[in-house]
Amino acid sequence: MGNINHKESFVSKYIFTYDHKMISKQFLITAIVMGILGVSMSILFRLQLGWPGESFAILETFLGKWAPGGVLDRNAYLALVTIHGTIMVFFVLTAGLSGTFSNLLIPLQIGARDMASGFLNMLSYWFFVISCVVMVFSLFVEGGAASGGWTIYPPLSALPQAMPGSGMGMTLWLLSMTLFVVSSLLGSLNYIVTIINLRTKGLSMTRLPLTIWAFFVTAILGVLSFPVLVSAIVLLLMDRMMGTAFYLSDIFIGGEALDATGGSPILYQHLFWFLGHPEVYIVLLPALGISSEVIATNSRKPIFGYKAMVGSIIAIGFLSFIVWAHHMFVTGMNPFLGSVFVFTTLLIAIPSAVKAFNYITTLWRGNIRLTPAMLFSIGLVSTFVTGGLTGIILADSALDVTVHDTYFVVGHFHIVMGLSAIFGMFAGVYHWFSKMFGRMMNTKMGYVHFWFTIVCGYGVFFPMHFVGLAGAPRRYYDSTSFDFLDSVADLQPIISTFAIVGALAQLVFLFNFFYSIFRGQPATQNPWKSNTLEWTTPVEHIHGNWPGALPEVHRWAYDYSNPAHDEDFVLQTTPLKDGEVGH
Amino acid sequence: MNALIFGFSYKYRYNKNRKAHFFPHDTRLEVIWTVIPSIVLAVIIIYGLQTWSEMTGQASDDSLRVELYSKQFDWTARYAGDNDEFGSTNFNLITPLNPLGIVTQEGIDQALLKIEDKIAKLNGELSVEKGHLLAEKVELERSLHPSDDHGHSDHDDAHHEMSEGYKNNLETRLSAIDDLLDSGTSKVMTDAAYEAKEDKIYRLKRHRQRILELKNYEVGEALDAWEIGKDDRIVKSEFHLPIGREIEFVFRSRDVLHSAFMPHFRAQMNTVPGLPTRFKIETTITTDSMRTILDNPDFNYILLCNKVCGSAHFNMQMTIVVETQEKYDAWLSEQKVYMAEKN
Repeated sequence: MGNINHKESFVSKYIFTYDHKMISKQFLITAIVMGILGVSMSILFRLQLGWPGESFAILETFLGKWAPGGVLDRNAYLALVTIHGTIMVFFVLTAGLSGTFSNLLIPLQIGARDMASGFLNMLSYWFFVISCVVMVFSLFVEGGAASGGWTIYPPLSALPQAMPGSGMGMTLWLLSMTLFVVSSLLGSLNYIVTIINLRTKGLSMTRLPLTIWAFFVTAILGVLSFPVLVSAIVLLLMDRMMGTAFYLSDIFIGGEALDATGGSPILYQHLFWFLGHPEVYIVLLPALGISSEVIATNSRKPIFGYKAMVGSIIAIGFLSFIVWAHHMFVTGMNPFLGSVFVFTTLLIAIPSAVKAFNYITTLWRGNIRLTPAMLFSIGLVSTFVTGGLTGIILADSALDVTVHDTYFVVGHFHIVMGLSAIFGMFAGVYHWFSKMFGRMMNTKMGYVHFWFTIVCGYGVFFPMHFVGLAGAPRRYYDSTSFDFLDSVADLQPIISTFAIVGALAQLVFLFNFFYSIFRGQPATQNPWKSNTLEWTTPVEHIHGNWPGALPEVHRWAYDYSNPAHDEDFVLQTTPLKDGEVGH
Repeated sequence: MNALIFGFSYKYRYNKNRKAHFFPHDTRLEVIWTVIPSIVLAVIIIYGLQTWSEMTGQASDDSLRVELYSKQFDWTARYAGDNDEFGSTNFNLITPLNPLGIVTQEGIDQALLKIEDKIAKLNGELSVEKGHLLAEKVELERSLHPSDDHGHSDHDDAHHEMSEGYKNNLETRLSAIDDLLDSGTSKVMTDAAYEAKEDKIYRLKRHRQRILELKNYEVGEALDAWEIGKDDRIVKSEFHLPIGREIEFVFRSRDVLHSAFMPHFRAQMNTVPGLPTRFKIETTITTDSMRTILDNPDFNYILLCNKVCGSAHFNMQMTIVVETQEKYDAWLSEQKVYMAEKN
């Protein structure tokens, strides 16, 4: 890797680049574009949910036949709900989060010139782009996009005659997700190999920053679980196109008894959730990793219980593989199997609780700089705890039966996985923006962005728990006809209002982001006075990261306010003083 | 917890003259907050699993069994007749007159008849397709007058060898085709439409085959198995339950996944095509008492669909009425008996 500072063409520098820093920015900007789409979709269906049947003339102007007379069409509603979920979970929070920060931070924080394979890294990004394009394109085909919910359970998704969205739209959904999995696997393998092989001298696994630990476990989860989604998808495609019956049996639809016998729709659910649950942690762990780093740096304290933090990341990763069927308590699965999954699911609360307590203890008696990144990290801990507690209710099969597939679930996972992960992503962007673009983001706009986002975030998703407890099912186009929901009907317009305000607040972020890329205050080399290796690289990006030799590491990443030193931070490259006990 | 998070963040906010407390780990504290959640969770698990096994356990022998059947986009309830047993069902037998596909000799014959009708109708449509008729006409004319174009010996021989009877057949067919073409009953169909109909006939024949297998199935001693379903009662839009009974619900689905959700009973179970599911509840408060309690004369218990199943998913509901045993018995006796109208 001696090729530092050579001339590159525009195409090899900005488009088909091998450089992890540029690929990281590509992932981030693509994810922002997808995020804008995903959030806009949620606003469209929140309009319908907040004010059912109300005509918004502007909708017809923009959406045409999706909103005849200014009221969202019921099939378009289901398509939007489905694609919103898919985009947010996979394209924004999986690829956007891991793709951006694993790519940026792994080589920089472990002292490597680049990823193990720059070529695979580039392929990973471009597969992601193609998959995004296919997914967005699927909105415009005949019958509309996939509409069976982001989990696309068969037989609804297997039978084109079951609903309009199960035609071409569903085929494209499956194609897009297959491409996405290819992208994810290429990325994850690369991250794993890089972390194992390319750590610089002195950087043992026990000295790794928690970000890297989180990315490492996340990548392992991805490699082990995404292929199972592909098998589920392939079997579904065969059921759709080749007349097999993996998921189909005893079906009479459209006036016709189908030939299929012997398949089971529940098989699909097992396969889907074998990915689907680890996926929650694929989304969450990188956010927790980022917040660990940001909280320690800005509290000017070592992260409390480093070994316990690493242990709980690994424990969460392991347990995430044996809890999937808690999504299936009411599918008709054997109740005894349900009991086993109640047990394993509740076990996962223990490492999660350890993490939450450790964060709080890290804050305790710290010297806390409330930067926007820090605020978002603190917000993450808050949503992680709040959402985690409602998770305990859902994990208990006897309680889950009453709130399964209601707004309670919607509120729960949006807080614990949606808000937490997106807060982690924002924290990462504010914290490492200077590393990406060489300039600083505006702090005041960051504060405005944070407070609107957290207040609106809770404003949207907290009342949903009450709506759900009252028994309101999710994915209903209109539930005004049910008297028993009258008591919570007033909450819906409030939720929608918070959603709209919260979405508008993201414009502040977008402006700040793009403005700062070009006009932000120029960054210094180590603006947050941080210990980790990425802050020893020059502000100006160079291929190969460090101009001279690779840095050598002498200590762990968390020597903040170490009493043996005068400064409240000690770079990992600082050799131990005489008599100082290293970590 | 949230108070601690934001409280600490405020209390320990930055002061450049202060240095943070260096506190990297403390085994005692960490053990405490590992052990306490473990104990709390153990308690939750034990209580939760007890309730769970009560909910999902075997129903007692004197419980009332009610079948709920889902399809896009409504529910049907079924009660066993006097024999206290549900007739067996088969999805191949579903017709408008037999929406649940209950297996009876009459049901089988009726379903077969229905399929024969459909096949005949499709064959009829295919037989008047103009393009195919014209093609057949050309073919027939060539067989009848092969020498016109080529005028040589081989064909003449073949022509002469054609039997009179066969030739007559061809001519009859030819004139039938001419009649069809002249009378205007012939229709033009695209190739795709023609093939779709052929395909449909193929599938209907497969369907017929499956019913015939059922019809010829050797039931042996259990010959009366196909009688059981005759007195089942089938109910739409509203179903009733007696108070103070254990009710065991059995769920079936015709097309896609649905979910039987009874928010007031805090009960929910998916309905799965090909896999009957179940749960049990016990009714404790009648609809009337609940109306008094809530001071709402319009109150009703309700059954909803809670698994997205298509465009009208949000409107797939059924009213549940809980009432005294006497009222329930009276109501049930008025409900439609499956085979009654045909006897």
